[in-house]
Formats: sequence, C-alpha cells, structure tokens
Amino acid sequence: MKIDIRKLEAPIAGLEKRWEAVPGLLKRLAMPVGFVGLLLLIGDLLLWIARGRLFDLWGSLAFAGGLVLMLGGIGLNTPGFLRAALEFAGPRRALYGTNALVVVALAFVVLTFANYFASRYYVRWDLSPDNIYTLHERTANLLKKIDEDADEKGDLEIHYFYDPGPLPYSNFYLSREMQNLLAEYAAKSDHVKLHLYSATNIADQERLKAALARLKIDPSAVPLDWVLITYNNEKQRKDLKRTDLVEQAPPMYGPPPEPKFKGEDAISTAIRDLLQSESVVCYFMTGHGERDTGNTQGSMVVLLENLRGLNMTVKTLDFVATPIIPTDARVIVIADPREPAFRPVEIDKLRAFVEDSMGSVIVMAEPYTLRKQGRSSGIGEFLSRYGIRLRDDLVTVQMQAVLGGMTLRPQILANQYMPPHPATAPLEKAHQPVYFDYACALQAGQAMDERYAAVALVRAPETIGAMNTEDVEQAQRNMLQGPIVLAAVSEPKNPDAKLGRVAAFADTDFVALGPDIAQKGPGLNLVTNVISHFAGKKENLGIEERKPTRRFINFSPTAQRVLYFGVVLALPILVIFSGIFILLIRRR
Amino acid sequence: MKKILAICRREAFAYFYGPIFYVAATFLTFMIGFTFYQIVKHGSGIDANIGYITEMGGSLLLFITPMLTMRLFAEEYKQGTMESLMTAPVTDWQVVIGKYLAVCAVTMAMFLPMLVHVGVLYALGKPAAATTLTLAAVLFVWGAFYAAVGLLVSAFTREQVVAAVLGLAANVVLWIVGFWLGQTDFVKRVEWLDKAVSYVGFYTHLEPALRGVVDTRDIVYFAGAIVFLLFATVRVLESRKWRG
Repeated sequence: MKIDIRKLEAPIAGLEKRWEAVPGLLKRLAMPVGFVGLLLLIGDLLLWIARGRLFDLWGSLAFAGGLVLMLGGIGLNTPGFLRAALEFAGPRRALYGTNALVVVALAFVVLTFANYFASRYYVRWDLSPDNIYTLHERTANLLKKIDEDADEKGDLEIHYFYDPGPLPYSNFYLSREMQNLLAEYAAKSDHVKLHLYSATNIADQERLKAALARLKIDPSAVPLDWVLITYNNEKQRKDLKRTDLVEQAPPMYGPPPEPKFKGEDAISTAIRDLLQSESVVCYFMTGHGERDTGNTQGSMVVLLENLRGLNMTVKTLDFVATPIIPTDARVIVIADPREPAFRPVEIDKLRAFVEDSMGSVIVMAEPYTLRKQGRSSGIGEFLSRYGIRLRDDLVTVQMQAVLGGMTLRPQILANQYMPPHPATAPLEKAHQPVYFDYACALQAGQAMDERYAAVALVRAPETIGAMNTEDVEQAQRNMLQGPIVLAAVSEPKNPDAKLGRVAAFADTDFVALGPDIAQKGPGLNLVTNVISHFAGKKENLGIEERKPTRRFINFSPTAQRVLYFGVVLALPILVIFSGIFILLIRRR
Repeated sequence: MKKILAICRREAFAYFYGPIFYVAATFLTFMIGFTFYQIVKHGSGIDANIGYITEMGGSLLLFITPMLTMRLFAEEYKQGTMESLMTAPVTDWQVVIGKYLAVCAVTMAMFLPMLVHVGVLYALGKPAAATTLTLAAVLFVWGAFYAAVGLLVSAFTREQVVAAVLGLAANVVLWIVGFWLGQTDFVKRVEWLDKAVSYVGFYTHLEPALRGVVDTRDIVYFAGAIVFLLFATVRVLESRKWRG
C-alpha cells in the first residue's frame, strides 16, 4: 500500500482552519498542558529509577496523569504536530533530507573516530581540592610496571562487587569512593580493566556468577564489598574484603567515629603482591578424617577461597596414602584431624617439614569431640614439641560475674584478648570479635625444641575449662583457671633462623561453612592472617588516606534566617521584579 | 565575526525583552537558593564549594533550555522571517553560531544571581579556586550541550511547542541513556554494548569534572558533540532552504 503524503495536506489545512476558531485561552493552555504531562512522565521515570518499581500507587497516578495531560496537550496541538509530520515526510523534503542525512552521518563517523582516538590517548588533570584523586607515586609506579609487562602477563583485571547503599553509621559511601578510586586506576593505565557488579542488579549478578565460574571461585565465599584482582592471564589473584577497605569502629556512645578509607593502600598493596610475588602453595591435609574442602556443611571452603584470594595456590594432600610432603609446599593446614591417628612416621615428616624445609603447619582441633568418643588424633604430640599443649577440655565462659550463666561460645574481642601479633593487628584495628564454638583449651609453654617459643595468640575471657561438665567434682579438681588460651603460635626465638612456624587453634567450626558463616568473617580473617604471615606476607605500602581539607561553613540560626530571606525569597523576587521593570520600560 | 555578534546580540536582546528568561531565571534562583538553605539547615554546615549550584542548575537546565531554544528557528519559520534571514548576506553557519552563542550567553546570564551565593561562600569559607572554576566550566558545558540539542530540534519544526517537547525529550533521552539504559539487563549482558552505552551517556563525562577531575576524553566528547549538533543544524537549515 502506497500512501501519498500530499493527500494529507487538505485535511491538515482543514484542521488548521478549525484551530483558528479555537478560543484563545484553550490555545494558550495547549502548550503548558502537554509540557506538564511530559514533566509528570519524566518524574515517573525518575521515580522508577530511584525506587526500582513503576506501578505502585504514586507511580501509577503520576504515569496516568502524565499520559492524560500529554495526550491532551498533543490533542490540542494536533494541527501543529500533523503539519510538522507532513513537512518532515513530504517527498520533496525527503529527497533533500536524505542528502543532509548522509552528510550528517559522515560527520557522525568523524565524531566517533575522534572519540575513539581521544579514549586511547588522553590526559587527566586533578583540580579537586587538595588533589585527592591523584594516585600516589607508588601506585603510579606499579601501574607503569603493568603497562610494561602487558605483552607477557596481560591485563590486570579488577572486579568489584558492591552494595550501592551507604555504609551504616556515617555519610561515607564505600561504593562511591571505591568506584571513584578504581576509575583513577583504570584512567592511569590502559591495562587495568574494571568490572563493576552491583548487588541490586540482576544482570550484574549474572555477570559476576559467570566471572566466578570462569575463575573457579565458590560463590558462597564472596561477600559484599569484595574486590578481586587478577593478573598474569588470571593465573594469580588476590581479593580484598570490606575490612581491608575500610577501618570503621562501630559506635559505642555518642557520635559515630569517622571511618578510615584504606582503599588505595589496600588495592596498591594487593597489586604489588601480585606483581612481585610468586604464588605460595598451601596444602590442606586429608586422610585422617579432616574437614572437607568442597562446598559441604562444615567444610573449609571459605577459608580455601580466602587463601586463593591471597594469591595462594591451594591443594589437598592425602598424607595417609602417601606420607610425603611435596617440595612446593610452604604451608600445611590440618583441620580437625580424627582417625586414623597420626603415625610416628607422619609426625617425623611434619617435624622435618617445619625444621628443615622452613615449612609452616597450622592445626585446627576439636579434641573435646574426640575425647567424648574416647579417641585421640595424635597431633598433640607434634604440637607439644613446639610448646603448644592441646587439652581436651570444653571451654565455658561465665557470662556475668554476679548473675552467672554459661556460654559455650566465647566472643573474643581482638583489642582485649589478643596479644600484639602481626596476625591479630588487623582485627584489632577493625574492632571485630571472633566467636569460638565448643572450643577446647590450649596451653602455650616451654617448647621441647629450645629454638622455639610458644605464645598465646587468642585468650578467652574469664573462663573455666572442665574435663567433664556433668561430673562437677572432678571438673572442679581439674579446673583450669582462666585466662585460657584459644589459639597459640610457636615461632623461632631467632627471627632470622631458617625454621618454619607452627600454630594451633582450639576450634575448627569457627571457620567452617555453616548457616552462621556470615558471623565467621573475623575468625576466617584471623586464620587467613596467620597463614599469610607464615607465608611471608609483606607489610602494606603505607599509602595514607587522603581527604580534602574541610572547608565547612556553619551558620547560626540567625544567619540561617537571614540566608532564607536573602537567597530563597529576596533574590528570586529581585530577578522577577527586574524582569517586570524591563518589560514595562520596553512597552513604553 | 561581526555578523555573528550582530545575530547573537539580536537574539540575546529578544530573550531579555521577553518574559521567558525572567520566569526561568526566577525559578532557577529560587530552586538553587532553596537547595542552599536546605543544605545549611539540615546538614552540619555547607562545604565551601559551588558543587550544589552546578548539580542543581545543570539538572534544571534539562527543562529550562528547551523553553529557551524552542523559539530560535521555529519562531522565524512561523513569523516568516526565516526567508529574510536566509537571503541576508550571512552564511548558515553564521546564523547558527550567532543564535547558539546567544542562547549560551542567556543561559549563563540566568546564573548571574548565583554570584551572591559565590560571594557568601568566599566571604565565610575558602573555596578552592581551581575547583570553583572547574565547576563553573562544567555548568557552562552542561548548558551549552543542552542548547546545541535544543537548537537542532528547533531547526526541524515551525511549531514552538513541538520544538520544546522534542527538545525536552531529546535531553531526557541523552540524560537517562547512561543511567537507565546502562542498568538494563540486556545492555549489562553485552560487555561492548555496556561500554558503548556508558560512553554515550553524557553524565558519564560530567561526573569526573563534578569531582574536579578534568579529562581530555570528556572535553573531546562535549566539544565533538556540540560541533556535531551545530553542523547538523546547519545541514537541516540548508536542506530546508532547498526543499522550499
């Protein structure tokens, strides 16, 4: 069917004639009515974007009202719109219009190329107050190295999974700060690629899932506000959690303390570690009924992902089948060994690994559970050589000195019960409590090997350890008065000695996958810190947080009133009156 | 240049002698003043920089600029003065640039009352001069971009209402393309499309400058977009001339 647009000329001319007969008031109303309708539709669209849903009560009202008004406005202006359409679609106009369109399309191509070249070669100036968006010189050097090694090692990819909402307690928006910062990294180097995933966007979550599957990362180990940096064609990786990015003490009394944003220091340190270090190999021992490393209840999967996030390679080692420790092993984790018990040959191998190969061993125990079953894992023999005694008590905590009450889940605050140690320092700064579940007790004392000294890493508050909670008399006789040790570390007395290290934790469940995994973050951080300390993690770069100098102006209530009358009332009135004055003069 | 300035002067005075400019300037002054007051009243003070003027003013220009630009060519067509303008010894480029400069100047003139705010901030605090200039430049670019869009739309039609509505719609589309379209599942799933949409959305290019970071990519984006829109306006005028 062919439509001759010229046939519409006559009806439109007729409509225009009728339009002439429309009362002047209606004509004048036509434009504002349509405009208000359009504004309402736009308002509704913004409401949709802001609230994430369109057809709630207010959204529907705004949408319906906007649509009616806009259609009304268009209806009142029908001749005008039809005339415009006719002019636009006329055959003669189309001919010349096409010519213009082709030229404009060519100009668009030129524009696209200009933007393409601009995006490849660009300069950036930081004119913000105190140049807070200028990356530190150390960061700049790291990014330079990435550019130099790009042919061999590929791009450095930064994945950021964020919560677009604000952090509680303050007006500090982590996601905004992080995105601004990461944008500066990407702007500084062509070989830094950013991937942002909003927790509230379904498509983003799907992209994240795909990225995690590609990188073989268990999604259950991914918290909010998580940064993953991959390098060397995704062979190396390092991740950062919220506690790595922000130092925020929860408010106790009064106004909340100002959060400290550690972004650049944390990210640049992670990049430095990726650029400079080889991946450390950490083995999880199996064969003695140790905890699973897959995605099952009670498994060590989250700890595994934490370690992978530290650029470590994690493997399993069936020590019962083959009691040989691989040469690439730097750290061995033994999580809740049960049976068969460690044989002397295995203990000797472990000892040789620590003392001859500078390897480190971390033991996480549950001896109370074993004792109830009348068994022993035999790992205590290994630990005692390094001054750590593994008891089979059940640690109970008196909740209140006066009212009493017992809990089997002591809450350990880092700044109260963790003696100073590189592994506990980050937790102390973050004010994070660690929860132990049905823990046994440890004792840190004289090591059989005089080259070692064992010290407490975590103490329990006001504790009583009892051999058997049902047998009160016996329990009181064997009662171990607090403070009780819940984690201990044995390190060479001479820090320069070529010896490995040993650590023991009085619990395993405090880092195991379970329904309360969200509460286990600090415990996981503690174990991860110990392992990374043993693996020789370097200190942070020490890039200080930069904030613009505060240039706040505070107004007294009187000044606020003056301000109100001045800028909200007087100034607009002045503008409108000057307009009226000019228009009156003009009329005369 | 003289011809451009003559056209610019003629257009600018047409605004200053009409009511739209004063209504828009009053609205703008009130809204920015109210924002200032709200920040002072409900916040713990106000940061001594003109960021709130830029952000509020720029957002309001989305609605105000089409009302200013709707008359630029549409009125000439309607009143039949376009023919005399086109037959005058001026080129299409001179007409377009003259009108464009006028609307840019008028848009910036609407912000003159905001000098009172700047005066208050400088009297009571110490705003960083570089940041103030950057934010003022952002506001200018923001307005200039909208003005170029409105000018092009105005060249298409003789109906002022149509020009205003299309101008507003175009501004809204350009405004939300980075925000809304960039957040849709379809776009997010295709990485290159996501990047392209993010690049096309003009707020992506304003955001660094609002923080005080000036990037040549953003300069090229805005300069290129404005030149392109003016070029397209010239082509539309030219084609209208031949189409009769």
